Amino acid sequence: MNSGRRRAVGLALGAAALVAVALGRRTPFLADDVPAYRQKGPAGAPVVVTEYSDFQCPKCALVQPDLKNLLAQYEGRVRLEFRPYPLKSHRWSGDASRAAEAAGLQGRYWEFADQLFAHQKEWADSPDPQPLFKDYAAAVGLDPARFEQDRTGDRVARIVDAARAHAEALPVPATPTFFVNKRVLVGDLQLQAMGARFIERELEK
Amino acid sequence: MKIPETFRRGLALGAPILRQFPGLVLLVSGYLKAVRPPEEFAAAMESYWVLPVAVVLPLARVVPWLELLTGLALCTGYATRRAAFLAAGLHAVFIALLGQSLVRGLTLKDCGCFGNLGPHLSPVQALALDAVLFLAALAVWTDRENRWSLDRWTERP
Repeated sequence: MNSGRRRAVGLALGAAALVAVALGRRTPFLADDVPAYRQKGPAGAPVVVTEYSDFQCPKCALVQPDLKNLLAQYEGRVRLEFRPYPLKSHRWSGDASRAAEAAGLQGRYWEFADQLFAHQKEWADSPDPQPLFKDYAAAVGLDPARFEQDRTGDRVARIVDAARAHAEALPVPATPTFFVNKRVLVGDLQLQAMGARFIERELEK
Repeated sequence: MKIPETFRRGLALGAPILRQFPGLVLLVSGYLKAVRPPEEFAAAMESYWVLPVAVVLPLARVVPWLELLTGLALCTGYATRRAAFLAAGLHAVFIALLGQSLVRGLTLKDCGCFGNLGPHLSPVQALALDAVLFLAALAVWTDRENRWSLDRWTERP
């Protein structure tokens, strides 16, 4: 056996694999297009947590307390950017996202999102959740006429379609997915287990 | 165990083609996961509820590379028998994982085998594919002639 040739071939194969993977890797492109009403925290925060979430996804609702605890723990140093990713497999996700955008246009995005997550089962299982969305809008003090106009209008539909297209293009693998600056965490378990560690690492940079 | 002569000859002729099947599948599945952040594959593994999160992430960094290099070795015929043995071992582990998920009634839409970029197979489809590839890898492992392989080429004086 020609061991020198054999070793050289092995090294060449390993190098080819390394080069192919390096060429195939892409840095996630996080466009700076999140409206102000979907941002929480100081503008110049050293860490930006981007949340890709679907209002009808049970794990997205489940992770909210952990996320809020994390943001409270690093208050003033972390900004949250929320990006809706209404999955096509969820019947009312798109409607819920449009309703939340309409609430955002009145400056009540977070309050309305909390209502959607808190009452997820109620509206998700409903044959027609639109009256429930109106109830939640009233509960957070929205102007009902404007809410209805915005919720069913083209502007909000375009925003939600663009958000979905962005998430699909990235691609976001599942909901919820979080980016801590450019490092990804997929799912509620990873945020619970590694969210604080990822933020600490970014703060140390 | 003594392998019948006709089977051995047939295998020697067919092995170079046969090894392309597990080789290509491992190559593609490993590559598609290796180019993505390991947290994505870790999330797919977490959905099987077998290992704790702390163990899953290091594994998610290693397994795609193991698949990629094993697949590359099988396709090119480099360290063929070792690669075939490793491929059979990988497929056996995947079969065990998928099998336990079906027995436990976990409702997984995607096996996570090809990461987020590749084809999305259901656990039943993935189980069938892994069973076929496991047998193919075992058959390649029993072949000692290694025709049309880098092993043959590097063995030349």
